[in-house]
Amino acid sequence: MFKLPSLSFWNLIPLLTLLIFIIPILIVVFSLFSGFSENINHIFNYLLFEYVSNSLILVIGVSFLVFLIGVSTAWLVTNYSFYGKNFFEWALILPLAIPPYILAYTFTGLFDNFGTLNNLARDIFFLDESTVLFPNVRNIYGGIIIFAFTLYPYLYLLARMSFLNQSKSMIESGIMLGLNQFQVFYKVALPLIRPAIIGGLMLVSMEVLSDFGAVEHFAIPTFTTGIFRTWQGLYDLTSAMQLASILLIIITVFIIAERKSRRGAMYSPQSSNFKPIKEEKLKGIKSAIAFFICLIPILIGFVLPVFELSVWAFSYNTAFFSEKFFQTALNTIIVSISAAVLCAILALIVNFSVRFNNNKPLSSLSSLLTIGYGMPGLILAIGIVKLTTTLDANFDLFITGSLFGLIVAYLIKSYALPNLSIEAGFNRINKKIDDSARTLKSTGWHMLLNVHFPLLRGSILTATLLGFSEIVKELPATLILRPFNFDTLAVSTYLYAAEERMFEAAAPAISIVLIGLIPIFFLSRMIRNSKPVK
Amino acid sequence: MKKFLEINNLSFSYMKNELILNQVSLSINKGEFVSVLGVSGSGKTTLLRLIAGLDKQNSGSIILENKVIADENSTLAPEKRNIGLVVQDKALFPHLNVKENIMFGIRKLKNKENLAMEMMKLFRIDHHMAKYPHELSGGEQQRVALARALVPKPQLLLLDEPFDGLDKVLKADLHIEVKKIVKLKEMTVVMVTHDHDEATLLSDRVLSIKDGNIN
Repeated sequence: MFKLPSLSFWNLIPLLTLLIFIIPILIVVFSLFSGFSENINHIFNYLLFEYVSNSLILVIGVSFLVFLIGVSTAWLVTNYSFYGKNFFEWALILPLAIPPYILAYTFTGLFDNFGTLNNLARDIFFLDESTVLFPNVRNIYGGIIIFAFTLYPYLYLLARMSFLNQSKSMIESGIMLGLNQFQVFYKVALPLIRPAIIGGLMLVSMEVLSDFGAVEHFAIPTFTTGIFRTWQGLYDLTSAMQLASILLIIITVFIIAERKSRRGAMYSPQSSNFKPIKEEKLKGIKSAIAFFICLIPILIGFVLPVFELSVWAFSYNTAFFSEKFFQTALNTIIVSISAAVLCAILALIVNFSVRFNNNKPLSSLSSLLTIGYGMPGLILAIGIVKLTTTLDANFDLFITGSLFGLIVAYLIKSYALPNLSIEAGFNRINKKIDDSARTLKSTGWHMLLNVHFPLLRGSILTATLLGFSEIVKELPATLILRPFNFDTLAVSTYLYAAEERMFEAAAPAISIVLIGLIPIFFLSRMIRNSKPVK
Repeated sequence: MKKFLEINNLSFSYMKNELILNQVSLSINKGEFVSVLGVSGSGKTTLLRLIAGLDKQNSGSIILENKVIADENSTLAPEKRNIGLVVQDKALFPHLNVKENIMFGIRKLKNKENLAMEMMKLFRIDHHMAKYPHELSGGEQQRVALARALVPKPQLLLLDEPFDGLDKVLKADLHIEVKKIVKLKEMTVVMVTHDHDEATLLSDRVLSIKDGNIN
């Protein structure tokens, strides 16, 4: 009489998307079963220890600094009222607009022996040219500083949100039990936000392990630089994939730990007798200390690099806007917007499919699609190159080195952010609207285009902008997968910086920072709306 | 009288050991207005959702005009059942105006404009046709929801506490209007409510539901 439920388009779309997203990753993992060459033996015997130890030092050092900066600033702006507090609340996330590799380039320019700051100091204090006041930052310690001051906003955001959810009564209980203000912080408030701290530090560690641009510029041998050199230097793709597999396993452990802790961080101790924390007003020296604790991360993570980029831009005068720059900008805009729009469309279809079918396995499948966010662009690129070359060889295609691979990499890497916005948009739509639409014979594409799409316009726009800003920054995947002679802003910045042509790197770098301000705008709006009701 | 809607041994649970509906059976005649009276959590909304096809029962069957629309093996999708549904929070499409909301279910018909106008006049909302849901009062929104559900001429109309949240005067006014229109259109209606007076005033028959069982 009527058909049994079948595998419809709406059931299959999340599954197919997951397949496309996971194949490049699986290709990398399966390389472990294809035998080991002499190169990989050489790497294992002589280089792997250095890659592991450097990566470990970076992760531990950055985590420690990020913990200090992120938690202290979040605690101050949530619990105290001091000069500039309202500004710091959102300005503390400004360093998110600066990718680590751009901070690395600008810090090199600032702190080199003949860099901007040393020259400035010599001019001010009439020192001779051999005097160096600021130390060189092109080493692993400089790397730790770079990562810490660009990545601390991840922990700041999570810690602030958790501190906001803490009830005043818990703090009061601590005081009643005889604890002073510092003891209340580390004995009561800090243990309560442990899931947020772990989650934040996992995210930061994933970013550190995934980075290529900054460690390459500082010549720090890590997993990513090792993978790149094995491939581009030794021309050994299989060994590069095998090395990438090890990094992939480590990153997967971080992803799982982050997801588990996020579930804990979602737990809010709010109850019916929840009392928001009342800010304590700081005066005099205490207010000044709080002011400087919050100011320093913004100065180092945002103001200094923007200052240095401006110095380069002005030094380069009118040639700043060269024809080449416009071509590069146009390439970036076309490819990033195309990928961002595709990402938003995909997120829209997948989320609709999950909602329409209303089943749990599909929902879990959908959340698996965000796994690419934690994957290093370099690993994705390697997997995609192997995939496209195999497809080309077997089906007489020419997709290796075309925009196809690049767009697929962007989709996998940046799907999580647009998905976040679209998922939130769907959650805001009452499910009874879907019920009404179905009884009025609207289903599938009709429901998506005529009911949900008009209600999700804002979320789709936000999703596209977030995806766009994320894609513009992506360096290693672009560097490897771009078609011949096709430069983007990120690649252009990297290539100029690699040749120490910093003045020319300014224009693309400034453009990346300006585009990076887009998510900051949305995040700062979220921060303003997340204050407790007084 | 001929049985129009037959529900046989219908059971539903979200999780094992937590039955929302337990072996519910009932039959409704054509043109009958039946109310199912019950407190919150008694399973009355679930019963309507199963009849509409928005959820799938664990066991039992639903037969509408001698056609099995759901049994243990298969279920007919809600969009294929020709059943109208009005819920308590109206669920009007916020991006469409009154006229567009009402025409939504008859969008493929050539005379959709005329049919919508006729229904708007019947519910006395024709002067609001260009307004959006947020520009209407609660009572006006409920009139739009009723008109929207009725205009495709469904075989069966399901009302899920449609007058909840309205003030007494407005409620009384709408009761009279709905009763009149339902009679005029010869509609078969199943309404769930927790308001005893409302159920007795509007219905030909009142059933009560408690802990997933109908008495």
